Amino acid sequence: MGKSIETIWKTGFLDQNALVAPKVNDLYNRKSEHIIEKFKRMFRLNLKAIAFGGVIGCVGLFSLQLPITGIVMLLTLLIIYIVNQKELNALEKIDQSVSSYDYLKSFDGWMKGQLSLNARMARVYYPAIFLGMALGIWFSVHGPRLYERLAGLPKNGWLLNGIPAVWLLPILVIASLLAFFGDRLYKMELNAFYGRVLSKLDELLTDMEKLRQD
Amino acid sequence: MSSDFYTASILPYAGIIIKMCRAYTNSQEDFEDYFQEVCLQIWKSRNNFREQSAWSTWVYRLSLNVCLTLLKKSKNSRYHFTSDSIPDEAVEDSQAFDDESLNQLYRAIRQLSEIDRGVILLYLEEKTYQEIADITGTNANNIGVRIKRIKERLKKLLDGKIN
Repeated sequence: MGKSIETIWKTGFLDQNALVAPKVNDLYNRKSEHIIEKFKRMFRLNLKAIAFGGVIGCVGLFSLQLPITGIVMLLTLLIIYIVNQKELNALEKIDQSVSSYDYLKSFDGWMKGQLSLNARMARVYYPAIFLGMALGIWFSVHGPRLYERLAGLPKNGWLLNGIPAVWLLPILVIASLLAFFGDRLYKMELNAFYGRVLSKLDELLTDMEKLRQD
Repeated sequence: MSSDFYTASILPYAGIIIKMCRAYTNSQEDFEDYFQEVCLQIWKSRNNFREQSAWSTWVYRLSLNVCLTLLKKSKNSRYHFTSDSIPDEAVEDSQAFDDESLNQLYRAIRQLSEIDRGVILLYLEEKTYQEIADITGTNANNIGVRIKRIKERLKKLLDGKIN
């Protein structure tokens, strides 16, 4: 090796072609693709977990002799799965040939739509699952034992099928709270699962909007 | 980012950014990503420039930090070594320049530790020891010894004495 590294460096960069800057356009193209692909992977995995969890949960609840709870849980999770699978199909149809900003905006629009849909659904499915559990236990083989225990307690006020209506109040209160806070619970769940990806997406969109303004 | 900002504040220093990014990437695709990210970070951080140093020094520092961050991100899933250690995986080949000697030198530089790559680039860009220390966040007293050691290693790599 004859030449010193200093000489190689100087003579190598005398050639102007060595320092041609790449075009700075479509700056966030790969970044946005990565984020959306990551989200899609997580979303698919989540859907599979919902379907799988529904079936396994149902089998487990049947084995615990809680068939109503199992059926309610399976039906609820299947509805969530079907609705979100349709949402995923719509996501796959988003045009990727547009600029990364438009692509991200379309994705953001889709995200807001599915978030609003699932938040509304959550106000139904959280109480549905809870009522499924309460009714399931009541109408299961465990019901009579529970009924016997409750039958021993003093019965005041209005009776419903031999049970004081006031005893049903906690169930109704919990179901109502779940209906009221269902959307917030869903958003907490969403943040726990997709929080990092969604905050990156927000950051990316904010950056891109600034870039477009400057 | 306005084209005015790019033309006035980035393009004159594109050479610095190109040289830095080439030292931390093995493919044209990665190089372009790194280059774009550095440009973007310069634009985003432009208000943090306090004129305590030359704009070019600031660009060097920022380019080095962005390259180190991106490299760390990309390696997190592949390697587990400290920022000052040497990757043991063979460096991919690259034909980025027409000058074969320069390609060889870059291949050798890419086999150095992450910090050493920055140090030698700054040395080759004729920065003073103090500037190199300021940019890399190391001690100026050790820079001379470090550069001597890096040059010896580069020479061995270029002579094919070590792989």
